[in-house]
Amino acid sequence: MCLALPCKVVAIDGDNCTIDVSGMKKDISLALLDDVVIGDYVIVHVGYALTKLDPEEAEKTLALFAEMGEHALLESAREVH
Amino acid sequence: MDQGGVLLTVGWAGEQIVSARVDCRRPQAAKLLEGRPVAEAVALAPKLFSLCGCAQGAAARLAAAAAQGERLAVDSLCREVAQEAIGEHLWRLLLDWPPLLGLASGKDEFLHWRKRLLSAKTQQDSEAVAHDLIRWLPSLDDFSVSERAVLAPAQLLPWRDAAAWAASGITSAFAVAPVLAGSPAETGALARRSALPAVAALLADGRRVAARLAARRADVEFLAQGLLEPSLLAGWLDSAPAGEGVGLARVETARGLLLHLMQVKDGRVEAYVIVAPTEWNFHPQGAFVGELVGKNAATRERAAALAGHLALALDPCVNYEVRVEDA
Repeated sequence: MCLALPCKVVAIDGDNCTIDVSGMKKDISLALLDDVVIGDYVIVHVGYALTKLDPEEAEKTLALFAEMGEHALLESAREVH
Repeated sequence: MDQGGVLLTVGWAGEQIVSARVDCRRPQAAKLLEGRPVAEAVALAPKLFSLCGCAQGAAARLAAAAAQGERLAVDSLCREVAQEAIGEHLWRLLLDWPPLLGLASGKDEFLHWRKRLLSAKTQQDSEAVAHDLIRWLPSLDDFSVSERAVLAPAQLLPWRDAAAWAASGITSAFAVAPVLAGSPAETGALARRSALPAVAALLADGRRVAARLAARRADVEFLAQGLLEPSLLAGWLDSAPAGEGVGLARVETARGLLLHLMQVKDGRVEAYVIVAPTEWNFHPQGAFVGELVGKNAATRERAAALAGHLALALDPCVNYEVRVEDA
């Protein structure tokens, strides 16, 4: 049950991008998705952006995870590779 | 340092792996659904999970319906869940296994199939993908992994319907370390396909990692056949009432059995329990630990590789990290 934590795309370089997840930056592949632009939210698993979310939905999901508390949110952020 | 979801600590004593420990740290996402109106919880469930969103969504809908004494038509649910499971299997077979074994990644093939599976929205689309998948499968590398298990492994989880699970006392404590009749068990493609001759032969030879790979391929073929002939997928998911206002859903996923138990009171979710496949396979005395201990490993690197192969074969749905310690 890998949590679907929305991650914001902050930079794009060809088929790769940099995401910001709870303040941590990570480089991942965009090979599975088309049409991702800076500012989009994506769901990530083992180095790949899996799905693109609309920003409103992403904010809602982030708020939901925030209910689990800061600690749990950080735990799941570290799980994002 | 990364603190992945599952930490696998392997004790290595020069020649042999002598111990293995699993530390799972996973947020209890099901708790987020408690206290919400049923419809809201059902809509949220698939959004909480990155990998098996369709299966989680289907389980939530089935559990909610069973809790409220309703019946759901499952045909289209089955099709979506099957396509998702095929995609998950292909991820392992094309992206994850080849580099571990020194082979080239099948990234382009994976992208091709993933895009087709995601865009198949009608029965006709699904049948077209299924036909092509079945034709393509024989060209997939069989990897020839030769590692053998030494000790008696965990039992394979038998197929049981939702009514049987509904009578099994599913609680949030059970969800953390599930057992069947008091013992841990392995769920997933191997448990589903162990009776196939090719898989059974590998099992009899002790080549359990190879058996899991063969079972995964067989599972892709079964699911593709199921897209062509939906009645084949009749046992893939179901639901049952589990007491007054309580519903239990059972959905098979690429990684194995997924159970959702929902208790409804006055239109709201009173309690929600999710039992995920990873908790069976990475149980403290489960398949990972039971199978790794006793394996010969001449070097630390070999010990780490054996642990990595077994972990990937058992396929945790969260990131995992292997650490080898001197025992």
